[in-house]
Amino acid sequence: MAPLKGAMRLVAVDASAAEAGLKMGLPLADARALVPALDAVAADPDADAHALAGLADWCQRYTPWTAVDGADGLWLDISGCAHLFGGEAALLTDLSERLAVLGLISRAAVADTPGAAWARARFSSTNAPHDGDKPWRVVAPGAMAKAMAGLPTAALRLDAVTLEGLSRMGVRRVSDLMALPRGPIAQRFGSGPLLRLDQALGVVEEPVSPRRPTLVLRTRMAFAEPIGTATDIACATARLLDALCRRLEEGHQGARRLILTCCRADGSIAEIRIGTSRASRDADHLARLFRDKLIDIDPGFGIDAMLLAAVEAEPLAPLQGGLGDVGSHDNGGENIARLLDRLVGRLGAGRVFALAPHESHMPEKAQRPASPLATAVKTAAPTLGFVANHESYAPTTPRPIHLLPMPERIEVMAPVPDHPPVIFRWRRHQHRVRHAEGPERIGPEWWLQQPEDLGREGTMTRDYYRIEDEAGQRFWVYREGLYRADMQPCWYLHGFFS
Amino acid sequence: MICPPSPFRPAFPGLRLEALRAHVRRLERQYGRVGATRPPLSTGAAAIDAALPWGGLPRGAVHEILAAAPTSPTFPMAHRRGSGLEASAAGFAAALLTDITQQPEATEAPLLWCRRGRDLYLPGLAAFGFDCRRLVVVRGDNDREILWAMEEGLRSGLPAAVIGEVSRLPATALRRLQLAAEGSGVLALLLRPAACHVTPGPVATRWRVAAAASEPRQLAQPWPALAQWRVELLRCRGGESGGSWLVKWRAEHERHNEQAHTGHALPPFAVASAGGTATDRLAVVATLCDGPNPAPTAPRQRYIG
Repeated sequence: MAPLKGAMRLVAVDASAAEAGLKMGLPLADARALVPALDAVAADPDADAHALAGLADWCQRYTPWTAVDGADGLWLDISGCAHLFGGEAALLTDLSERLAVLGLISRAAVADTPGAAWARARFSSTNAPHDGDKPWRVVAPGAMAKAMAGLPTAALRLDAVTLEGLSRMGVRRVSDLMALPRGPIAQRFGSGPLLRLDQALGVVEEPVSPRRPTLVLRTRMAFAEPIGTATDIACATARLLDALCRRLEEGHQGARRLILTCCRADGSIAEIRIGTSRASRDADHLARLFRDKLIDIDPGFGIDAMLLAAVEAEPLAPLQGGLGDVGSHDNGGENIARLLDRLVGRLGAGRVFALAPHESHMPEKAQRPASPLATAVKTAAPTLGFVANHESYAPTTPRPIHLLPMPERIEVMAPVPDHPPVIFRWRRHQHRVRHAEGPERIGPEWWLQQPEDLGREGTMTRDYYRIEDEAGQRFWVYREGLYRADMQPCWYLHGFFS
Repeated sequence: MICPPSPFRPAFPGLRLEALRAHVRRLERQYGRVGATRPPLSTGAAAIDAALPWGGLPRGAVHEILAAAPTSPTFPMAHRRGSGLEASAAGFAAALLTDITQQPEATEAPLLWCRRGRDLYLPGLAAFGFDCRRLVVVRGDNDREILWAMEEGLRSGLPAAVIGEVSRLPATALRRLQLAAEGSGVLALLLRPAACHVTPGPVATRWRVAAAASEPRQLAQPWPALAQWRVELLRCRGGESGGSWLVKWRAEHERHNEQAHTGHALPPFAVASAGGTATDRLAVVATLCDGPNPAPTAPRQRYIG
């Protein structure tokens, strides 16, 4: 039930309610009057949409191309898939049986066009004449006009106003519309009805986007009995990987990102994703990356189908296998890539990185994380340009080995205007300065700043001092801003020398 | 004497010879006598190298570096976390590994640095002549992840060296690291914070490094010193421990200048008697305490049971 036209009304009824005479759109009060024991639940469109999207993903067991249609429908493009399930009719039977097991009442139809399938699924009655030897739900190729003719105009996915107008003209069935001249219809109702008709009949192409990008590099495996043990899942993954890697090899490609989808028996799915730092089609290596994550799969009541897809693939030249050991025929770089993949797989993306210099005077911006493999490869090959040798990394002025991510405030006693500190206190601990070197003045990057930021924290000149306390510990501290008689200067600790 | 558990009781007598050979190879690797395929890593100071039975740090072993507070009566809280004391240990590690990053044999091999914080600073590392292109930083959430990453790196045998910063180190984890390092011949360096509990275990060497105050000012030298440490050799497997040195990092241009201008003359504070040469990366400023026997000719046979 949901508030609609000023009253709580029923928006969906189940089979037993329909038998009792309840209909959609009936006010809740009337429904209660008819069936006092009515169990009404508030409608939750978001949850419905979520469940429908989940169902669309689940339907990927039949085809990679699935889409959600409105609030209550799904589209599956089964071009070239039906033979895997023993034909279109068998596929439909399998689908509706599985949905029935999940407790869902479904109507489905197969046709050449999305429009015709939509119409047949919703408006054909079960006692409609059989189409040759196939059940009523399968529209034979090219037989759309015949299949659509007997259906009401509502089967054309038209809005209420148009439907009202058409019925006032006496056009109740699709066949009536087909019989009329096109000109007057277009004049009166716009291109809508004719476009829908043409789309349903296949005269005009109807583009429908799949819910997820369809993947070419994809393998699937269905099980006669749902599997649930970790060993079975690992075995199945290995077989899927073998098949996928063969296809990658045929296409001279290597996978960068892979998704393993497990369709559970209860209609939900579980997904794991892995990434590699370098394109790979080595089934053993990929299996190892998956192995750590397979534990996370909750098989629930069992997994009855598994899909493996390479979301991202890159060209990878074919390699000649070694004569002696087949497993380790790759070069050193590849092996490092595998080690890094394992580390990333366990610790997470962004946890394994190289540090690359960045051209900035601001100390905190002078380095940034980079892809570890890129630098490793650069090292292996003669490098060009900026990072030619390690000297270009080395600064001309001393820099600390540990730089605090955020400079920390320190209490400082220092002679004005710009002398180094004499005593400073950091984290409740006092250090007496013995030696100091400085200042090294580092100006803000004014060319990157907005005018309104001027004078704010972090946009002021910094005077850096290298100081050594009595014990010998060396710090990097700075004073923010230039000396001003009316303002107490702020001091920060930014790093530690070794 | 406690003998190691004997692995030579195979079902088939033919395997016995193989098992013996493997065991001998492992022993040899462990004690660095023969069959050490790769030369040990020089610490950068001839005086310190001489105090080690291997003539440097052996690869395929775990070396532990403890950060320590500078000994000073005015240093109130010596053992605190996040006190910046770890910077000395990190600097010493970078100075040790500089050689490894510049060796042509390891051109492709990365250097894994497994740690927790985000404060490792590349310009500071590069000051030690450390080739940062080979550095791969692995950031773990806890000690367990760091130890796992270290072990994975050591087992693969691919990195030139694996450095890890861990505060809690169970004895089993240390043993695993040692086995992994021994199996692959990769150098493992453990950096421990100042406030850590020292795990007794099979480390080849254990050092304690603390920042030391700069010596009086020299012309044409950065002052305060870029890096000056008090280095103590706490433990040395098969050798004598107890050495303690005051060392100072010398930048490459300093080394070149000294060589070019004065032949071997080091700054007066680099004690020539301690065995310093003009090519040392680390100048030994003073030998605070010589090990009882700086250069034993043959390592004493010892077992860990």
